[in-house]
This record gives sequence, structure tokens and C-alpha cells, in this order.
Amino acid sequence: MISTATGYIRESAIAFGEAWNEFWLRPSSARPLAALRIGVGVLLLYWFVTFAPDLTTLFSADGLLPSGSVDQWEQTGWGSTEAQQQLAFGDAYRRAQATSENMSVLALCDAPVELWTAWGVGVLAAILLIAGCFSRISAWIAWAMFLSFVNRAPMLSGPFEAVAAMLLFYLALAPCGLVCSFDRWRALRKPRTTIEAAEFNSVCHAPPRWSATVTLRLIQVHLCAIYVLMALAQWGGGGGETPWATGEAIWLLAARPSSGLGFGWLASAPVLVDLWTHGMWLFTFTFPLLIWAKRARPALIVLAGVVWFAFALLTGMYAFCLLMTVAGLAFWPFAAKQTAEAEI
Amino acid sequence: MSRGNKTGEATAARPPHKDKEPSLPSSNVRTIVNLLLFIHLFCLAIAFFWQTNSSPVSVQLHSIPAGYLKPLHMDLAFDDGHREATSDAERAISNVRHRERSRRAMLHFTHGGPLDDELFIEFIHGPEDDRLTIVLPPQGMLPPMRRERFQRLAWEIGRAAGDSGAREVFARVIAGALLNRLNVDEGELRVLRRRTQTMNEATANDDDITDPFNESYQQVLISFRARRVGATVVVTAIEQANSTSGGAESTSSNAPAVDETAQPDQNEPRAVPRLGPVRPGGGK
Repeated sequence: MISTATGYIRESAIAFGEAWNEFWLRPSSARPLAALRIGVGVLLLYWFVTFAPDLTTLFSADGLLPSGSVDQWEQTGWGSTEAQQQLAFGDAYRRAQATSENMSVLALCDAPVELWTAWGVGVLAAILLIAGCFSRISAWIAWAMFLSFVNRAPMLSGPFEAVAAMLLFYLALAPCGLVCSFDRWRALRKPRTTIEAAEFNSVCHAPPRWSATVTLRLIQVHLCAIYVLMALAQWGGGGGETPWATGEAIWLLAARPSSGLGFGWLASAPVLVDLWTHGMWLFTFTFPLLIWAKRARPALIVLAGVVWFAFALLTGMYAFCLLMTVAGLAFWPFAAKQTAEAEI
Repeated sequence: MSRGNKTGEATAARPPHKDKEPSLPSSNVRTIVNLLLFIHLFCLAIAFFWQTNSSPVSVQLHSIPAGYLKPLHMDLAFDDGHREATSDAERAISNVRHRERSRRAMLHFTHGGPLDDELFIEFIHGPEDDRLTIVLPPQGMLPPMRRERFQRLAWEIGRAAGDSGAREVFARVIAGALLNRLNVDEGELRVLRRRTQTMNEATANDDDITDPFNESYQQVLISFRARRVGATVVVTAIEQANSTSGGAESTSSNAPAVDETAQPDQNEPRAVPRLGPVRPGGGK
């Protein structure tokens, strides 16, 4: 009896280990990473460019958020006294004092020329990332500069920054310039010391890599977690019935005066508002569940594009919606040559 | 690197281990990668799934991966990080959690509360007969990403409406910067909320009601008079509408009536260089 149980546990452990390794480490194509690299790079470039008109207004010594003010800002409590918080939490409270500015290169930049230099480095890194030029280095620099801007003033960040930080971190770890990149083109022009199969002799194909699999899986899992938490945040926040539950959310978003694209006509179509609200929430909730079914993936990714496109028109959050669509490409079955490039 | 015949293997027994092994990384690499994966996923799981629990244990637990995730901007509240507290102790816990999660993904998009409406900042300065008003973000600011940033700044200050200490700090930072930037000695800083219309209001026959920018939809959340005294900036609260710091008020259709005594000045504003275009107090 005991030996049977021991054998069962051992076999289960072995099976789990093999499945785990298959899931996380089986080499796969780097083409989804290339698609993500280009998509995220373009949006990152846009993000940096939108900082240009307000760079000194926000961050210079005489700007709205001069260096040092963010620390002061973050250390300001909400509603209870300092003594109450110290008394209640001790170490946890003191750890919470850790602030953001020391995690940003921009904390060292007050003068306009320094700010513009940091901004220029970010823009250059984003351009190199898009082109796949020195992609390993450019991905790390792009990620570091992005986080520097975010950490310099975290109160300015929102949904876009939350998703972009995740994607850039994993792209920096990934062989994102392995295909469809300047790096790949340059590598093919050099005399090769190793023999590659004929089907890999192009810019858009390369041998499968386990490092591509790990990072793609991390993006997939993290993206699904974001979808789940998005659905939970919409449904359960505020301690009462939210407009996502009552079917009013889409109207409340459309009626914001700066949303912009003339969705005021929805006021005379409450049924459509209700359907759209519940449909949006249902999509958010089911995407992370159904996306793991390979047959459903292409349809879900296209559906995600449609849903986020409509949401972008409704809310004006174009960059965020486009980023969510791009992030969905991590699931796209890119591998055209099944025998050579495994898809995951 | 032989990968075997996949279709043949599918119907046969599990393929020999040797066929797979070369394609996976070495055992040592697998061990290291799996360990790092486990640590990373564990940290994410704590940060993600202890979003709502406000017990002291959860605060302590959450502080473990915060040092790793915070610099990566992955330690986020997925909504506005704003929840109701029913007791002083819970409120204190909640406040610490908010401070740790000063980063908000705002992925709820709206909960229909007052702070889910559009918020904007006004700074009024100049002599009584020649008042200038700066609005951040100005109406029609493009691209939308820029407008979102300034709206979040206004949201951050507006959120402190119920906390005299916090709102003074924020007012001093922003008003001080504006005084210096505009080279003036005093001014009035306001954070206003533009209440979202209900469907009935949007379809009414009255133009004043259907106009979402009508001043009757505006509510002053925070108003401070700021003046420079030597090298320091002194701020004094002028007035404050109903507190919105609870964050769990009714949906906008049941939102509190706009405080008619808190309307912005009607004086015509003028453009001020370097801080964007100006419009009259958010009105028509």
C-alpha cells in the first residue's frame, strides 16, 4: 500500500516536472517576440514623444514636480496621523517609506539639458528596439529609461505604464532581436561558423530557443493575470455594486467630456450600453481562460483587437488599447514551418 | 538536432527521453531558470492576489516582494487603490497599503464614483480686474496621453480632498511651482471635478443641460490661496466641497449636487506661455 502510494507520488512528480519543463523550456520560435518588440517599441517611442512638450514643465527644477517633491508626495499619509501609523505597523510602516525617486535616472536630472539628454537616450533606445539593432542592449536601455520616467513621477502613470513595464521587462530578458531585425540581417551577411538549416537562412526565421519560450510564457501568464485582475477590479471595487455590474460603465466612460469621439448618442441606446458593458467584462474575464485553447487563439486575438479598438474610440485611451492588442500577439501561432520552428 | 517524427509519435507511446533532451537546456541551466521562475512568480502572486485584504498580516506579507517589484513597476493596485475603511485601525492599515501601492494601474476604468469623473487643475492669478486662469489639462490637449497625465495629477490631488495634511502638501508643491514658473507672488489653486452626465441629462432638451462642459457640472474639490513669503510658499485653504476621499460614493447618476457656491471665477482668462492653452474655467 505504502509502496503504491510512494510510486504514485513519484510518478506524479516526474510527470509534473516534465510538463513544467515542456511548458516553460521547450524551444520555440522567436517570431512572436519580434512582433512584440516592434509593436511595443513603436508605442514606447510614442510614449516618449508625448513627454517632449511637458518635459521641463514637469521635471525641471522650477517644474510642477521638481526633484524631491515626489518623495514628499509619496510620504504624505491619507487621513490618519503619522503617530497612528507608526504605532500600528512598526517595520511595515518604515518599509513603506521607501520612495521612488532613488530608482530613477531622472532624479539626477534637474537642468533642461540633462532632462533632454535622458529623454533622447530613451527615444534612441526605442528606435533601436524597433529596428532590432543591438537589440539586447537597446531593450535593456529602453526598459531602464522607461522605468526612470515612471519612477520619477509614479502618480502620472496609469494602465499603459502598468502593461508596458511588464512587456519591456520580459523583452529585455528575451532574445527579441533574433528574427525580423537588423541584428539578424547583419548576422546572415557574416560568414557563418556553424551550419544552419536552409530554412533558417532568412531574416524572419531562426532556430528555436528555450529562452524565447521562457519569456513568451512569462508574458502570457502575466498578461492573463492582468486580465483576471482587471475583471476583478471592475466587478468588485468600491465595496458596492459597480457600474460594470449594473451595466452603466460604458456610458460613464463615453460621457466623459474629453473622451471625444461623439459617443453621446449612446444615451438614447441604454440597451446597447448595457450589452457593451457586460460584453466587455465578459471578454475580460474569459480571455485568460479561453486563450489557452489553441484552436480559440486566433479568434480570441482578433476579438481582442476589435474589443480594444472600440474601447479606444470610446475612451480615447488609444495607446493603452493598442498595447493590449499588441500584448495579445504573445499568443499568436506564428510558426509557419512546423517541422522547424515549434510554436507554443 | 533530430526532432523526430511528430505525427508518428503522437499515436505511439511517450517518445524516448533522449530525443527530447538535446532540445531542452542542460540540467544545471534548468535548475537555475526554474528557481528564478519560482521566485518571480511567487512575488507576482503575492502582489497580485493580496490586493483587497487589509489585515496586518497581509501588509507584512506584501512588504516581502515589494522591494523587488516596486522598481519594476509591477507592485500595483489594479484599481484606484481606494477602498472604504470602517474603523480607525482598518483605515490606518489601508493608508499604509495605499502608500506602498502608490502606483495604480487604474484598470477598473470607472467605478462611477466622484473621482472617476474628469478632474482638472485651475490656477488663477493676477489683479482682481485682470485675472488670468491656467487650466491643466486644457480642453482639447493632444495627444491624449499628455491629457491623461495631467488628469492623473489632478486626480492625485483631488483624492486628498478629505485629508487636510495631504492636500496642503500637494497644494504647496503645485502652487509653489506655478508661482515660480509664472513669476507671480500669489494665486489661487483649485482642483475641480467635472461631473459625468447621466443619460437623462445628455438627452435633455435644454442646451445648458446637454453641454457636458456647462459650469453647473463642475464642483470645486480643493481650493487654496498660495502666496510667496520670502523663499517659502504659504498655502491657505479657502473652501472645500463635500469630501470625496471615501472613493465609494454612488454612481454619477446619484452624485451629490454641485455646490453652487463653489463656482469658478467668471473672469476671462488669458494665455500664459509654456503651460498650454487656456480656457475659461472649464466652461463653454
